[in-house]
Amino acid sequence: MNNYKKWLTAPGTLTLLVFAVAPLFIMLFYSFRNDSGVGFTLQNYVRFFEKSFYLKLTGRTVISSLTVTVISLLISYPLAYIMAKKLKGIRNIVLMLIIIPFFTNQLVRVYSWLIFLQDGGVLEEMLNVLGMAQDGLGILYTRTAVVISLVHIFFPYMVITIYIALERIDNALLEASKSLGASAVTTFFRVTLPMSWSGVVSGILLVFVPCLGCFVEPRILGGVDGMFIGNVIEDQFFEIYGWNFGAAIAFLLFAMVLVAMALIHRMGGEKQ
Amino acid sequence: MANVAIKNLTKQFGDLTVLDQLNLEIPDGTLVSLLGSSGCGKTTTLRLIAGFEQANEGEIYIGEERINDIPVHKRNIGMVFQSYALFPHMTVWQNVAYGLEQRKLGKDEIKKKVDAILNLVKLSDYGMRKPKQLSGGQQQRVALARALVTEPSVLLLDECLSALDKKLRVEMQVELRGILEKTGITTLFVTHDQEEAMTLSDWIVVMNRGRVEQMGKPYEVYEHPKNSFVAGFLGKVNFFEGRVVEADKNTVTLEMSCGTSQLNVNEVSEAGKDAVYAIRPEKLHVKKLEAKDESATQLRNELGLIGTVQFITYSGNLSTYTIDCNGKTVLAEVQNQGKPEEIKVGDKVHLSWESTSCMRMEEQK
Repeated sequence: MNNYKKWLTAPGTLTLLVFAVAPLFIMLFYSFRNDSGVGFTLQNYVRFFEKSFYLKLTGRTVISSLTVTVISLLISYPLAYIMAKKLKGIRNIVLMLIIIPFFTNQLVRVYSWLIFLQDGGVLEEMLNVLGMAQDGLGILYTRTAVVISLVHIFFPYMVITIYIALERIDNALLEASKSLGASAVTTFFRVTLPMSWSGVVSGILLVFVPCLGCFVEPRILGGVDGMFIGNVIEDQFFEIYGWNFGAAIAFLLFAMVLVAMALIHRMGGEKQ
Repeated sequence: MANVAIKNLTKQFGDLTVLDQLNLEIPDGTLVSLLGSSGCGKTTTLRLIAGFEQANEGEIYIGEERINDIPVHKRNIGMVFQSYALFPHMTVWQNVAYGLEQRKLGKDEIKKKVDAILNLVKLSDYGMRKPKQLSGGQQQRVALARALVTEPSVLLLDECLSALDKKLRVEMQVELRGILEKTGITTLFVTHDQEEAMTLSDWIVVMNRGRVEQMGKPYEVYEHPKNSFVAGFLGKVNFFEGRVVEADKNTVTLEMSCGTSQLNVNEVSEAGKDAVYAIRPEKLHVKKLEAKDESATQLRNELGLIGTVQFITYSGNLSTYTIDCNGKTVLAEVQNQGKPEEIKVGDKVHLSWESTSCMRMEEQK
């Protein structure tokens, strides 16, 4: 590579250093700081493990994120499969419909769910018309509401990664499988699924990891029951001004994300 | 192993009729080529036999069994795809074993058969490799092994040699022929390459617009093409088209747009009717005319055509002359007999031929 060409990466590198790496180190610095403002301590980290509240909340965050991931997968795979292998003319229209929510502001989406799910809201009205309503849905301000909204926000990522993986599979491979005596079901499990596995893994990564750190949806839709660990971090920074403890939790969450990514990555490695 | 019979097969995609009342009989244990230009319905025929498409009308039999309503995976066919369609996430060995696993064979039996077939296609040492670690020719052989190992009733080959470069393709043709002779399996081979069809097949089926134009042994379709489509598709050919003015025992006087000529032909047409005759360039005898010959009445009375050489293509073993006969362009190929420069551009030449070489074409419908 020419010498001067190397410098073309400088603006990007610099931006990353200033806006991503540096803040991370600042946070790392805070996470070890003593609340008195003098010297360094491990106390912030110890505090997290001392109280069962934080551990429990982390556990529930992981379980909720897993729930979102699994539901997204169950919705996305069939949808992506139909788009990639069955639809021809209207494929792009369907893809567009899936992508459109991306163009909507996050808060608008969240408040839409609020109006839709609340007692006496749109969903209840609709069920009333069908004669299936009970008084008071009781969905809003629960974990269920958070999971529903997170699925809505994140499943398109899954659809798109799986769709791309499925679309790349040459139809001749599926025909070859059938010509060799494999039924449609066998063909799916022996050819289609293994060959689209990389898309599934990327999809899981793109859904599960952001879910772990989210805090807007739980805050607005979750109530007390639906809190995520992200809300604790948010509170520490904006309500309590406990930056040091907040930074420590943020780093623990960061570590969790890294571990999750490594695990998910290995899932992909085994199959391919 | 079994014969394949196709009866009145019609296939339409929307308004487009791809196969039009196709009838075809593929004898047991033979290699039959479906030859035609793209869009002639040859691949569709293959896909209908495989079961990837459903016919609108007509019947397909493998042996005695009508297979129209049998799903692909129960038809017991073997297919080699144009792209080979090897499973990229499996090794060569797993690819070949796939079909046997579907047939629920025991592990030992699968191993025995896979090893045997890999040996037959000379890939015994490549079992543990992934398809993309193999060359095109090797992938082709894996695809063939995978299709053959299950001992299908019919083997279907879809332009499977066309992706290889010429040298490798010729090698593979010979190898394929050898392997198929050993297994004795009924094979249907789709190709647009006439040379390949000639080299490989017991029978050639020339297809055009969803119909069979002619089926015959390779030399039959080349030497005795039924009509101008078949003659033109297989090899080069000169056509003489016009109205028969006079018909004698072995000659016709043909009034063509470029003038009237007397031709000696294999079969005369009735006087007063339109006719098409065809002659292959290599069947023409080209004789250079000296100035004194030109006036000789004897030559003028001799049958044949007189023309001027316009263009010469020299390709080593033969020379191709483009000759202008009264405004009609005629191609003549002459084997190199050591005097390639005897005839030059601008020379007057006399073209003659055996009467059997000039073939009467059936009128095209």
